[in-house]
Amino acid sequence: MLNKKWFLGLATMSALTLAACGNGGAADEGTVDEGTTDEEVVETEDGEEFEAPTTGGEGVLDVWTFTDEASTMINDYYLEEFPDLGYEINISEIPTEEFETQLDPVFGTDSAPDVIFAEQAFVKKYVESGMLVDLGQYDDLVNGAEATYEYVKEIGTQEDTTFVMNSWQTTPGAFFYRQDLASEYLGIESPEDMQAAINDWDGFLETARELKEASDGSVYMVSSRGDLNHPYYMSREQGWVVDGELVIDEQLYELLDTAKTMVDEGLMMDADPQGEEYFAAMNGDEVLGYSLPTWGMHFWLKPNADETAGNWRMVTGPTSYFRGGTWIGITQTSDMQDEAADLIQWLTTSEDFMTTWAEDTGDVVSNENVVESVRGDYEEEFLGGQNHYDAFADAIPAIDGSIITEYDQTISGAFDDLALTPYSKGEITQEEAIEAFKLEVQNLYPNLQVD
Amino acid sequence: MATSTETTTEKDVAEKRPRNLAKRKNTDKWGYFFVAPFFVFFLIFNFYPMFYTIYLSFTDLAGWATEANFVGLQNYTTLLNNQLYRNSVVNTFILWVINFVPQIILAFLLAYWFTNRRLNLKGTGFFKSMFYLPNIITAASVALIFRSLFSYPRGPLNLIMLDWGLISTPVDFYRSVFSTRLIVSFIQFWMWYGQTSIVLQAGILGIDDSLFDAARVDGATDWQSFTKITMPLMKPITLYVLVTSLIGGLQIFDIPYLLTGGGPAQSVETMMIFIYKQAFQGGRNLNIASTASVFLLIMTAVISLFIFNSFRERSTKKGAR
Repeated sequence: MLNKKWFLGLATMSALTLAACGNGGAADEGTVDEGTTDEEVVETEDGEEFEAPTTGGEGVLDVWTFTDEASTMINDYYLEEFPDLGYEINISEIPTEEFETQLDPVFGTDSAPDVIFAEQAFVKKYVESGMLVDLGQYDDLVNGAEATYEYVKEIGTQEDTTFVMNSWQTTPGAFFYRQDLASEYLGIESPEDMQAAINDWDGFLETARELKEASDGSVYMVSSRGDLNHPYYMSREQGWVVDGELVIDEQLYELLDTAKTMVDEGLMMDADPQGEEYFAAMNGDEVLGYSLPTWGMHFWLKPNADETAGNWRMVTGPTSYFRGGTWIGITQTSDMQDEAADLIQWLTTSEDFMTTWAEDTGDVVSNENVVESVRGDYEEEFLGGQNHYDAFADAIPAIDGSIITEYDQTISGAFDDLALTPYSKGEITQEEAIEAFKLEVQNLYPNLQVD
Repeated sequence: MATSTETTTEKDVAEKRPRNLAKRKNTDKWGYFFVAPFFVFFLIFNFYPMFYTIYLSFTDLAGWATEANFVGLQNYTTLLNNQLYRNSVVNTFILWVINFVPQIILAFLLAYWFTNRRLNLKGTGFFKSMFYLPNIITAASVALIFRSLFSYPRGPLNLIMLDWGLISTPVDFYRSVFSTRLIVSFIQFWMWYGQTSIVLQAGILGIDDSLFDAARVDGATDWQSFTKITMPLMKPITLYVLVTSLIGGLQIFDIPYLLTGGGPAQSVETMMIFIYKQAFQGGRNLNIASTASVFLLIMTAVISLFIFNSFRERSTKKGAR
């Protein structure tokens, strides 16, 4: 009698404990790497729900990514090509803004995934972490990567020249503008003429002033400071941090001045980058152009410009730049490193795959041979038949990957929020702006030498 | 108190019963099993993290480091000299004060109207739930709504004000320190006054009706019975509201963070936002974040004690008279 009661009590207690855990299923399997496959729903900052990332345990290749391209590439291409892998691939898709907060706590531990995708803004953080597998040990991958654009590999390489992450894409940026508005107000009839007019920042400002005069202030040159900062950031001589010291490049002061001039003279709409007005103006007649990279055209411009489709053209703009991009690497804690390397090798170096991928999606791939062979074949209806691939391909060689640092996301963000935005709006002086920016950087990175 | 008297009476009854029934086993121990899950979770998810945080505040754990080295009070001195941290403390208190003062006034007013028997308002149930409604919406959605309501340059509010001729150029609300603080405080006020008012109503309804009847017989006006009977007897519940709101207010994070991320000029960067940014952004300085958390804990405890004491002193003085 007594025993039975004790047992009942214990059973109730453990049942309660397990139920509250929400992890009951994995508890009695007894393997070393149990994984967490229970579906859990979490929210992003904007209240958007997403499933918490999972790891599948032993014999499952776990991939954590922030882009839905990953599941397309793996499910529709990789698994089609290799149907008999003998193991499962478990893809967890985490919204970009939550990606680091989900990954950082487990990165470097046994709970980490096998393969991680990382975005340009934070890729260097993982590259320099020293916790990714050296891809140099996989000869096929290294040989295949010979045709990969230099800057792509440079970003995926540690300071001590260990090559740890590679990418399937390049992300050159461009200035997209409305041809109908340009010919109406500026008398510019072709992308070549447009490029000639805005070949440098002085020309850019002059054109903006002409546009304002001709349209009586009803059409702005650009929508926001977000159309200025990325080109400027990428044309810096040095990255944010050199030898543990914060560097404020000359280009950044020029960026501050250009932005302020454009706001003061009413040359830009001054919407919040990626805010409602920023996207809404893509369908209106108030903004002449946007600075966007390859993916920006597909993911931001096209979906928001259905009424103005066909009127857009693209040119390089005042400076060549790039923005974004996705790199793939293997964690050192992975128990399936060879399988992970196979995946990365195929996604980032297989010319067959890249050709198909480029043809299917229009993505500008990282393999020079493939880009050269497909660049002639495009006609983008959205751009009135212009060959965007060709134009993007032209911009790749000018990209400098050496200015990307592990501090970019945070420091660029601080510069945007505390210096560029308030200064361009005339709220503070340039000195105050730089001071506030430095204070924040010092605060977030106590070990950096600021000043 | 109530439970102990119950058990004693049960014992008395049991002793008077025939012997075979008195032999029944003492089942009190089952209580431990049923409270055990709570304690297990409390120890794992509250107790342990709290002491771990205190431990981290004395170490140098940051970034990818996995080993923590003892650094003594270094983090504390760094933090006290940190301009941004001191600003965040000030910001938090400013936001709390401009949200709490109007909130408690309006909540008292509503509680007074809703419980006033002479006014005998109709549809109080409906309005109570209406006023409570903002509290049900998640902070993320509220922030999103207000973000777009006040957005610049084509937000609805700007368009309306332009249309009515109140302003000649759009106002960028989230670029002004004053209006951003006001909006954040307003949202906090709007989300919580319903809750506060319901707690206060419960307090008022808990007052013995006969006191009001007696006052009315003695010819007291509504206002007199409110100030002379309701207010003094509401002291404990007001104390409760004040302390819980203060604790919540010191930990304010979601609305300012989602609305502007702490900007403009870090004017709504609260202590919690500071902690969050230290822990998860930049160099991921868990040590500094932990130190700031410990400061927050100390601050909350000290202020709560102060409020408790000041309330108690006043009531004893009055009682002595």
